[in-house]
Amino acid sequence: MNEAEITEKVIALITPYVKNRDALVGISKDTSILGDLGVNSARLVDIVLAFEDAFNIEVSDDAADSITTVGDAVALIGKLVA
Amino acid sequence: MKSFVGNDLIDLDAAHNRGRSQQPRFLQKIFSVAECAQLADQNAGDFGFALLWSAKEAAYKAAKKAQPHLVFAPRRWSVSIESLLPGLADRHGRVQIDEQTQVAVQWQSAAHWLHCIALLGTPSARIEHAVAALPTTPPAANFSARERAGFSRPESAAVRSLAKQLLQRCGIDEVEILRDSEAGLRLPPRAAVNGVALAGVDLSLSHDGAYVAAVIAIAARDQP
Repeated sequence: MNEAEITEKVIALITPYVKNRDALVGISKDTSILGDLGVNSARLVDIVLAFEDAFNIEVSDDAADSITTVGDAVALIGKLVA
Repeated sequence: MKSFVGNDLIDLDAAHNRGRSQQPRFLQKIFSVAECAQLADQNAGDFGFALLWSAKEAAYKAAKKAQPHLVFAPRRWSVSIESLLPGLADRHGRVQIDEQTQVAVQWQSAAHWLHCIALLGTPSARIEHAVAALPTTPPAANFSARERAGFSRPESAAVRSLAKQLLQRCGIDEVEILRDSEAGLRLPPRAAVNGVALAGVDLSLSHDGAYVAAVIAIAARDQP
């Protein structure tokens, strides 16, 4: 799976948990999942679980904590599926 | 040691908070084995879930101010609380973050919300806190350009307005509530005058669903 495919899938997985729907219009790798998209901590856990299911990976607590932006999530998943 | 405050609010009626206690994978991701067992043994449902989760969130907010590199790893932390069952208006507990870091927590609850306040370090001379329903109209408080750079959502404005009311109650007027970013990460909100942090004043803000909550901690005079 290439980076573009991971990015597309990551955005699709995040979207149901986004509170600030307006921010989805200009979503990019620099978009902050908590700050810009209005995802709260509990929903970020939901998103991490969705990543684990969709990519068949396990995300550690430390790895999950490193996810700030969409790009962080894509990079992390890229490493875990490699 | 300086003291740091954190808080977390849970709207008990919000759809996204319902059924959490019935999601085993979610629970195993955020709670220790002992906490999962306590939740099940006491048959405490979503209210018990809210008690444990809000304690971890509030404690994290307080501890992160003292340890900026603290990793959000809630299942590694241990919440001590006697009962997870509803019925008590006020209750107290603690969250053990690591061997050196223990955070005192207290909860207030009403029919529709649960609010947890966490305090790390020396007890503050004064703590003011409040929960309010999210207003249907924009809050009356005026915000400076510096303040507005730190938020965009109406609930963020509402919770800052509530915090300003609490600060006024403590005799602190003309204050800004700023939220800066550093290396792409948002720092905790701080009370400031002309951009300079107010010494001895800490605050924490939270919102969820239809409610907002703010806590102000004023340090004792002999605290640095």
